Amino acid sequence: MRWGAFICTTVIVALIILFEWPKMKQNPKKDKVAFLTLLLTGLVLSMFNLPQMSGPTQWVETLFRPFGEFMEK
Amino acid sequence: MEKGKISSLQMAFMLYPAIVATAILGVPSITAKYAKTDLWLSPIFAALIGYLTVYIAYKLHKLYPKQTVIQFSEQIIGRIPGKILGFLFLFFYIQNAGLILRGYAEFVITSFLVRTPLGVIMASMALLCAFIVRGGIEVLGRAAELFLPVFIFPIIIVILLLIPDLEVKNIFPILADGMMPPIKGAIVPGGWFSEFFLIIFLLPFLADMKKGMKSGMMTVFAVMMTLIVVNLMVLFVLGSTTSTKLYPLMNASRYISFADFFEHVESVVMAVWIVGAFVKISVFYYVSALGTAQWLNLSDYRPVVWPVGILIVVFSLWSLPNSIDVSRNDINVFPLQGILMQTIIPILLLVIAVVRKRNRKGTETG
Repeated sequence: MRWGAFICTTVIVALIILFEWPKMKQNPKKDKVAFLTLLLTGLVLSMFNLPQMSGPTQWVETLFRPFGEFMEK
Repeated sequence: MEKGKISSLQMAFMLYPAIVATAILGVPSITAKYAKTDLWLSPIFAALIGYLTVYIAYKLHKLYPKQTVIQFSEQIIGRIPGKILGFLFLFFYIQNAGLILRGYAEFVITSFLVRTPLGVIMASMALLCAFIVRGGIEVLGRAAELFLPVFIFPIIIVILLLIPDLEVKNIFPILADGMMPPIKGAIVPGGWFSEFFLIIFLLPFLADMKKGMKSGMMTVFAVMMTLIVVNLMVLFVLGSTTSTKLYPLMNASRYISFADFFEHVESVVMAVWIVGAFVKISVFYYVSALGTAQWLNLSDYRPVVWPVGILIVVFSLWSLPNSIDVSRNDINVFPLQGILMQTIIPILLLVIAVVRKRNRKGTETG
């Protein structure tokens, strides 16, 4: 768990909520739910040691491996 | 959702740096690896993908004038397949925005700010782009209109200043191994040209709809000429060592030296290039934010700009421990993924849409 990045991200997320929430008062509930969900996803992801973690980039790379081998030649 | 309007000129000014900014950095080196001295022919072949993509995007736009691909996919292939395809597009654009941001940061760190942490460079650029995306498409369009001359003129001057260092002989032998090397070298730039599909997110906001296709085609041509010129310049200055350099244009601009004091021009190239990268990242960021809001059927995309920004930074770090992984992705994954998502899938969408319209007309009259 990388505390440095997590704490920075938490501070940034808090600032974003402080900044955007008052402007979203009149928006429908869906907007607010989506806003918070996206922020939460980003926050959770920042907890992990991202560079070392295998992720969607790896899946896409595996998907396109034949093409990768063609390009390596 | 978005009430702003842009002119077709602003759209062109947004697209040109969106494609060229990173294409003139590292792509000449990759093209040189496959095409050797014929690397100046590759942009001509790669531009074919550009023309095709602009044409397809414009035709799709004519069928669904007020919608972007996230919205009309649901109408063409049904709600659930449309949502899945929309998610694939979103994933593609957010991931690419992350990769571009990472590529920019790696370039800045490698060439200049060697000891600055990666996160600082990426976060500062993401912050800046978030502000401009939050402002809306008109702000983005006007910023692009303002910054494009700042981006282009110094690069033209640098190219002119390189003239004393040019070795035109480096272009020989021409087509020594036949047509295949330039064509194979055109694959990676082709991925860059497929990015013209971004206009599918911009065309609904054009004030002068009729000029959309012409503007797009001319931008493709401009990008093609730029890449040809840059490739030639790099070839004339660096010769066969081009494929060994990571950022050939930077290397070439280090050669400029007049009267022993007009030197270090590469810092100007760098500063100017950051302007181009800023426009590029902002355009991708805007498309990601707008697409996300449309996919979730929100009333406005502006609240999601900041969360999407965090996601972009997340993607720029995820499973990419070093710059080699980033460049490897550019060669092995991006061209096919780009052309698949932005040229081939739109062609399929267009075909299905046209067929469905014809069927509907048939059952109405029949």
